[in-house]
Amino acid sequence: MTVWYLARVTGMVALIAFTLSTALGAFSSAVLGGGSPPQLDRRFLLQMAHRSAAVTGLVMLLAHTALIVVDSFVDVSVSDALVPFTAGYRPVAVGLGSLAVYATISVAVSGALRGRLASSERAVHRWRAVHLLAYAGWGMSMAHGVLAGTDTGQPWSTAIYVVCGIAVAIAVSIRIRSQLLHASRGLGTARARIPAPEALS
Amino acid sequence: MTILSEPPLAAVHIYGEPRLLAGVTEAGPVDLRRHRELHGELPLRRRSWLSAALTDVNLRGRGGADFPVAVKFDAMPSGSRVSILVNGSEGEPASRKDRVLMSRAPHLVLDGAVVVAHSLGTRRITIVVHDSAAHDTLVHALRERRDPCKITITHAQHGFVGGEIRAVINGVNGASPVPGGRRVLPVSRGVAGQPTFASNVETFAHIALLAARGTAGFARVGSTEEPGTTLVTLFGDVRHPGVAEVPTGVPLSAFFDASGDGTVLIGGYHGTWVDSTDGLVLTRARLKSSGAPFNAGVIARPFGGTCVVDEIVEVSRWLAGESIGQCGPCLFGLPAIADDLAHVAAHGGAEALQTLSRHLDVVSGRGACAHPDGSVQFVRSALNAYDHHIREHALSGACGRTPSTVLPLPRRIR
Amino acid sequence: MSKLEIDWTRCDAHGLCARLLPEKITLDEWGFPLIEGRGLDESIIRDARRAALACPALALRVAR
Repeated sequence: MTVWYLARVTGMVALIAFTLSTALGAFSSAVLGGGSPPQLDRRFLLQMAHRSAAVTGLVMLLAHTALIVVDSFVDVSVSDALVPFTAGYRPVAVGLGSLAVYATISVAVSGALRGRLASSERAVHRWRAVHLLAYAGWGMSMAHGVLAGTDTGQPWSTAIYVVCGIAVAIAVSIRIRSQLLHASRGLGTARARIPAPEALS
Repeated sequence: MTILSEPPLAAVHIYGEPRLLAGVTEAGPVDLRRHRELHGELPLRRRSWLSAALTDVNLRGRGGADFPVAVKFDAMPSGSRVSILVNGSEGEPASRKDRVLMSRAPHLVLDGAVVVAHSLGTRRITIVVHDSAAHDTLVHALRERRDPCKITITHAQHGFVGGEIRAVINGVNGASPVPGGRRVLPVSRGVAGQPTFASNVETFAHIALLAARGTAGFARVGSTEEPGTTLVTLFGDVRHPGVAEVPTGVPLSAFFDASGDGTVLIGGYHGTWVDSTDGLVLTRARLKSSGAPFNAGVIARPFGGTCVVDEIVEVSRWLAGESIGQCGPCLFGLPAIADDLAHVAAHGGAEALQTLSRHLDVVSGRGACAHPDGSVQFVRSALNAYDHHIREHALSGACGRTPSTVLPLPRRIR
Repeated sequence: MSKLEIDWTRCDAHGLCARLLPEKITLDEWGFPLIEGRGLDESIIRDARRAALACPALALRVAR
C-alpha cells in the first residue's frame, strides 16, 4: 500500500508545484508598475521561483507516473501510460494524465531551451506557442486529478483543487488585464511607462 | 500608415550625353519601338560575362546603400527559385529620380531586370512601385513586351522606412512591411524565403546599359573609378531643379551658379549638410570619403539670405513621424530631437543645444535599421554647417530672415 | 571575443538586463539599454548569459 500512497502524494505535490509554476509564469510576464531596482529584483526572483517550482513538479511527476505503473492496486501498464486512453483503469482520466505529461514535457523542454532560441527571429513566436501549452497541461492535470484520484471527495483534496484553481485563475486574469492595457502594440511596456510623444501627424 | 500626396513629375535635365534618359521627351514615356531603336535588342548575357562586366565598371547600387553590385551578384546562387526584386518604392521623400526613370524609360528598367533574371537562371521578377504614374507606365510598358519571365508589379504605399529593402521584401512576402530585428541579407533569404537579388530601379537600368554596350562602351563616359552616369534630384538654388542625368566625376559646382551661400544638403534627409562644395566631386566613393555620402542622390541648396532653421525643424519632425515604432531609441529619441531642435530655434539657449547634442549621441547606433542614424546625421551635420546661425537662434531667437522653402516634404492626406 | 547584441524590435525597456549586468549596461532616459564598449570579458560572460535569459522579451543575446 505504501507505493500506492506515494503515487497519490507525488501526484498531488506535482499538481501543487505546477500550479505554483504556472501561476508564477503568468504573473511575472504581466507588466506591473515601473522598473525600480527592487521591482526588478523581485521580477528576477519570480523568474527563478517559476523555474524551481517547475523542476520540482517535473521530478514529482516522473515519480508519480513511475509509481502508478509499478503499483499493483491499479492496472496501468507502461503502454497504458504512454498511449492515452488505453488503460484498463479509468481510461479517460488516466489518458488525460498521459496527455498532461506530454504537454508538460514540451513546456519544460521549451523552457530549458529558451536561451538558445534568442538567436532566431521566428523562433521566439514558436517558443511562446509551445510554452503556452503549460495552461493546457495544467488544466488536464487538474481534470486528471479530479477524475482519476481516489481521494476526490475528501475535504482536503477538494480544498487543494479549489486553491490551485483560484491561484491560476487570479494569475491569468492579472496577465490578461496587463495584456489588454499595455501590450497591444509593440513596446507596450515602454509606452506605458513613458508619456506619449506629441502627436506628429 | 502614411498616405502621401503625389507631387507632379519633376523637370528633367541632361548634362552631356543622355543614356538612361535617352529619347525622353515631354510627350511621354519611351515606347518599346523607340527604346529598341535607341538601345538595341534585349541584351541577354551569361552569368560569367555579367559578373566580370559589373566588376570592371565598378557599378555601385543606386538605392542609397552604395553597395558594389558585382559583390551582390556574385553572392547569388543561380536557379529557378531565385528571385529578382526591383525596388522602385523611392522611400526618400525628396527623391524623384526613380519615379522619373520608371515613368519615362520603363523599358530600360525592365530590360535590366530580365537580363539579371536570365543570367541567374530564373524567371521570377517582382517590381515594387509607390508612385502611381510610374506604376501605370510600367504596367503599360510590360504589355508591350513578351519576356520569358513572370514579372509582378506591386503598387505599394510605404513611408520612408518602408522603402528600406528588407521592409519591402517583408511586404512582398505578405508580412508587415517593416525591417526585422535581425539583419538578414536578401541574397540569403528574400522574396518567398529564397535568395533574392534586390536593387534599386536605376541600378537595373544601368545593368541594361552595360549589357547592351559592353564594358568599354559603358565606361566611355564618367569618372574612371565609377564610370557611367547617375541620376540626381536637385532642389533650390541650382541651375536646373528637378531630375538630372549626369556623368560621374563632375564637380558639384557644376550644378550651381557662383552666387550665394555655400551650404548644401547632400544625400537627402539621411544626408549631410556641408558648408562648402569646393573640391566635392560626384562619385560615390569620393563623396563618402569627404563625409557627405550621396545616398539616394538628392542635393538641395537653400537660397542665399534665407533661413533654413524652421525647415530643418520640420524635416526632423517628419523624420520622427516616419519611425515605424518598433525600436525604443528611434520611437522616443527622434521626437525628442525634433522637440530639442524646435526649442533651440526658438531662443532655447545653450542648455537647449546641450540637450539636443546629448540626445543625438544617445540615439545614434541603436535601432534595427538606418533610420535613426540617418536622421541623426541630418540634424548633426546641420548643427555643424549652420553652427553660427543656429547659435544665433538659440541665444537671440528668430533671425528675421526670410524662411527657406526648398526642402520638400510629402503632405499627409490621411 | 563574445559581445552583447540587442534585438531592438523586441526590446521593451523592462530593464532587467541593466540590473543584472550593471558593468556593461545602463539605461537611457526612456529605459532602453546602452551597452558600454564592444566586447565581453570572460569574467562576466556568465552574468551576461544570466541577463540574456532574464530578459522577458528575449531581446538580449550573447553572440560570438
